Amino acid sequence: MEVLQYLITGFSIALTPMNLFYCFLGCLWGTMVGILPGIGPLGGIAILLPLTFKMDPTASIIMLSGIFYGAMYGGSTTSILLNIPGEAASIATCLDGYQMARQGRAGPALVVAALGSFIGGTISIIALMLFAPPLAKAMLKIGPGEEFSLMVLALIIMSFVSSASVLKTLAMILLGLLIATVGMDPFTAYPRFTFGCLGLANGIDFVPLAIGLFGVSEILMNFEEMAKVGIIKPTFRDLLPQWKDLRDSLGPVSRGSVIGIFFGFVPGISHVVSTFISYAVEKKLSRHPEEFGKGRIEGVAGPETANNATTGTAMVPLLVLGIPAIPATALLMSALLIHNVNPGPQLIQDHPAVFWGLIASMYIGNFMLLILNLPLVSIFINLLRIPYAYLAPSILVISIVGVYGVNSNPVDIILLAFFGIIGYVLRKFRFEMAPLVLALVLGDKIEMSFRRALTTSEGSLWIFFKSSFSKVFLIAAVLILALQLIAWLAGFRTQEKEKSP
Amino acid sequence: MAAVREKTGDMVISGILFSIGLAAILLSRFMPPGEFSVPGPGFFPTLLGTFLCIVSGAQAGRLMAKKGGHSVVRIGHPRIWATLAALLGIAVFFETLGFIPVIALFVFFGLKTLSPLRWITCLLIAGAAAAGAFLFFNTLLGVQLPPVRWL
Repeated sequence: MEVLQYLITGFSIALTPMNLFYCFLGCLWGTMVGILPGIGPLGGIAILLPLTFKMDPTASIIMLSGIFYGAMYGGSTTSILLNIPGEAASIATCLDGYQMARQGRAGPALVVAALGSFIGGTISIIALMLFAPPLAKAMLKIGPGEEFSLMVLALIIMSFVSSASVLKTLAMILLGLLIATVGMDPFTAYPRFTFGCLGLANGIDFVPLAIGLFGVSEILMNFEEMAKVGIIKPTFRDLLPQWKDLRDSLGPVSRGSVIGIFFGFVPGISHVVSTFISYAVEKKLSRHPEEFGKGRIEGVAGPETANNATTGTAMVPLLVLGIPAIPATALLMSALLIHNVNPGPQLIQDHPAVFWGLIASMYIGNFMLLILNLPLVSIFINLLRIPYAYLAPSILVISIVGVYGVNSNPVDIILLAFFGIIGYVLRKFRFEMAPLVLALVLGDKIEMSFRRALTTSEGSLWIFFKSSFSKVFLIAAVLILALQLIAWLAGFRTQEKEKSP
Repeated sequence: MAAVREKTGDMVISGILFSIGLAAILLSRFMPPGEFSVPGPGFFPTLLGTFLCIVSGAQAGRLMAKKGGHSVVRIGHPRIWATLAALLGIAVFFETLGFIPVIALFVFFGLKTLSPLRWITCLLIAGAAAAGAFLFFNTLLGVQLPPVRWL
C-alpha cells in the first residue's frame, strides 16, 4: 500500500509537462541511437549528458534513463531489418529476426520484438519498484569494508565479462582508478597530480573524457568503414502479426522476462548474456530446434524481452548500492552525482522525488516507446538512409555543444579531441573503454571506503573479512580472478604445445 | 593509413601504461603517505601505480613470450586527421568567431570532405544546420553559446 502511495506521487512528478517532454526526448534519442549502428546507449547518453546539468536532477535522470531503455528498443529494428545490431544486446535478435525479414515477415518480427520489449520492460520496472526499497533498508547496515569489497567485485566481474584480454581490462580499470585520484584528496583536500594547475583541482573533467572515449572514438572508427546498407522497409499493413505468431511468442516472452529480471541484478553482464541465455533456452525448449537461425519467432521474442527486462533491475545496483552494474548506468550515476544526488541506500529516503519520479517515468517511457517503435517504425527506419557523411558532422556538433556547455571553456573541445583519439587508438588495439569509465566513476568511492575501513579498523585488513557479506564478495572476486588465470594459463600452454615441433 | 603490427602497438601501449604507473608511484612520494591505520593522500595512488606497473609489465612479458602475432592494424585514415584538425580549429576560433560561423564552417568542411555534394549545396546546408543548432541548443535548451562575435 505504501509503495502504491509513493508510486502515485511519482506519477504526479513524472506527468508534469516538462518531465514528460524530457522523457519523450530521452526515449526518442534512445530509439535513434539504438537504430543507428555505431552509437549505442553509451555514446547516446554521453553526448546528451552535459545538457542535463542545468536541469533539475529528476528531469535529468528521467531523460538519461529514457535514452538507456530507448536504445534497447531501437536496437531490435536494425537487427531485424538489416542484420546489423544497433547495440551488443541485439546480436541474438539478428539470428532469427533478419531471416524472418528476408522471408517477408519483418512486420511480425518487429511487432513481437516491440511487444516483448514492452512487457519485459514493464515487469522489470515492477521488480525494481518492489525490490529496491527493502534492499536499500538492508544495505543501510553495511560498513565501509563491505562497500569496498562489493565495488572490487563489480570491477573484477567487469574484467571477467569484457571481450578484451584480462590483462588489458585490468590495466584499463587501474588507469580509470588512477585518473580518479587526480584533484583534491577527498579526506584532506591535498592536491594530487594537479601540477599547480587550478583547472585540475576538481579532477579530470568527466564529460569530455566520456564523450571523447565513447562518442568521438566511435565516429572515428566508423570513418574507416562508411559502407552503404540495403534497407527492407515494411509498410504499416506489413506490421500486423498473425494470431499464431502471438501465441508462439507468449512462452518466450514470459521466460525472457524472468531471465532478464534475474540477470539485471548481476553486475557487468546483464544485457548481452541475458539475450543469449534466453535464445539458448528457447532453442532447447522448442520442438523444432533445427529451425532456429532460419526465422523462428521465438528466437526474436525471447531475447528481445530478456534484453528489456534487464533495464529496470539493472538500476537496482545503481540506485540502492550506488554501484553501476553496467557502463550505461555508470553515466547515469555521474549525472546524479553532478546534481549532488548520491546514489546508494540513502537515495530513496533523501530524494524520494528522484527515485519515484524515475520509476513512474519508466512506465510512461515504456508506453511512449511502444508507440514510437510500432506505428512509427517506417519513419525511424529512414534514419538509416541518411549517409554517414551527414550524420557524423551532426553528432560531432552535438558533442561539441555538450562539452562546451558545461564550463563554457573551449579547452574542453581540445580535451574532447584528445580523448577521442586516445579512445580510437586503444580500441584499435582491442582495449575496452567501458571498464575505464566504470572505474573512473567508482574511483572516489572505492578510495574513500578503503581508507575509511582501514581507519575504522586501525589498520587491520581483517575488516574486509569480518562480515559474511564482505567475505562472500571478496571470495567471489578471488575465484573469478583465479578462474581467469587458469583459463589464461591453459590457453598459453595449448598455444606453446601447438607451436613446438 | 599507417600499418602497425598488433604486437608492436600492444607493446607501445603497455610501455605507456607502465610509465604512467611508475610516474604515479614517483609523484606520490611527494604527497603525505600517512600510516597504514590512517592512510594519507599518497597511499592509494602508490598502490594503484604499483598494480598498474605489475599488470602492464605482465602484459609486456606476455607479448614478448608470444611467438608470431604478425597481424597488422591499420590506423589513421585521412578523414580521422581531418576531423581532429577541424575539432582543434573549432576550439581555437569558437569564442573569437562565435558558434554559428564556426559550426557552419565545420559542417561545410565535413560535407565537402565526406559527401559528393556541390559546394553551394554544402554551404546552404551548413548555414541552415548551424543556425538550427543554435536555435535548438541556445533558445530551446538554454545552453550558453556565443552566437556571432562580429555582429
